[in-house]
Amino acid sequence: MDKTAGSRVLDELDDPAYFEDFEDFDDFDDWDLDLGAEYDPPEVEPPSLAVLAACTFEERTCLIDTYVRQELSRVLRVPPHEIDTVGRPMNSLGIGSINGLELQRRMEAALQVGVDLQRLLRANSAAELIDCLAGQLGPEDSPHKHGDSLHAAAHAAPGVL
Amino acid sequence: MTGRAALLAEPEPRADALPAQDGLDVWLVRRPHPDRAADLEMDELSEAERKRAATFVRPTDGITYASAHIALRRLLGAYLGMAAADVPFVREPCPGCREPHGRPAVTHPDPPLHFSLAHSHGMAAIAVSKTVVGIDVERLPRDETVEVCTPALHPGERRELEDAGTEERREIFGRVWTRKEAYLKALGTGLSRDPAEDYLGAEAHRRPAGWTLLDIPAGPRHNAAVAVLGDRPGHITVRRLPGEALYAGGTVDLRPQGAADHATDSGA
Repeated sequence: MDKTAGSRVLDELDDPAYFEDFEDFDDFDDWDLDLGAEYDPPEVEPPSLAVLAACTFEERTCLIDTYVRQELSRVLRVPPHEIDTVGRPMNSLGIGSINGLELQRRMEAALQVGVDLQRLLRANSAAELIDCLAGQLGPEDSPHKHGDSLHAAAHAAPGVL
Repeated sequence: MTGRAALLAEPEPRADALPAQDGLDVWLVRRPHPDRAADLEMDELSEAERKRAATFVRPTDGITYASAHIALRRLLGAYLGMAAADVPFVREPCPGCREPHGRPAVTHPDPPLHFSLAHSHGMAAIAVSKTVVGIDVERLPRDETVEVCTPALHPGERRELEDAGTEERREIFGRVWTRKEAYLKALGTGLSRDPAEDYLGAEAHRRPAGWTLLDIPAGPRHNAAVAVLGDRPGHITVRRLPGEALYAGGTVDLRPQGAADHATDSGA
């Protein structure tokens, strides 16, 4: 097999040995491995729902910020304090569809609240997600209770494919 | 890009460059080594694309994103007979609200040219066809990710995962998920549609009617799949885009080399 060929048709698609032979094609993360051992995230400690419901919006946002950083740390394998929750969209942090689904399911289980996967993936920042959760987890009469910032994010034309 | 597209003439595809009427072209793109990142032809990207590439926390993710978009522009430019930087991208109407933030597309070429792009951890995949198409590529998930995410799948998919051995689960989940996301991208809903709604498991006859799902071999660390509207394409080619095609001065050669177009039975 000529490994130097360009846009050659891959004509051994059913042969599992094909990519083993194509050695340079699947070593995508070689240079990532050079960065050192994968970060081992700390145990995640979800906040108490009772505490969240009783505190102010600002206090609740702070507690949820800490928790969401922990979950992002677990999914992305980076230290919580290094996660930029303000300036980057979720996929720029490394959240794709599968680990986005994992994040959604972990947060829904811990916080007992619905999280829309599409909105999570399209959020302009983790802070947008945190604000939305802080609104949803407040007391029933909270003006933030039905905040829909993530809905707005989901329907904002991203302008980039 | 949409505003810019409005200023451009509609593309005139080269008939000899386009996929056959019943054809499907799939291109696999590898992220270049970071040492070669400076050689990527970033000038062909839009300002929004360049900004986006710079926002990734992991530099290698930014390189993957830029590589995927350069490849997409150069491939579509070659199919449409225009410069990569001029490919007129638009957004189709959202299936939910009809606002223009649905599936990415190129401006109304005649005959229509459909494409889909996906990228994940060092690999990008691009599908080009004259019919509606969606593609997905994903790195193999971790065991704990599979465990947490499996309950979100269709009951039939969940059963297949429960019946599988521990070693197989990551691979099976990856196959199911890439088929599912490829299908939802082709459908135009993306993940606004509940992942539990549609069966995309191993039994082809149970999958959504009117669609063809194909697994695309993508190496031992990734899964990839394509969804095509209608019957299985008669001519399917899966090609690797050479790294040089992403760099300044590089070009894309649409002609298969060393073999004729051929169908591949890559379904589950």
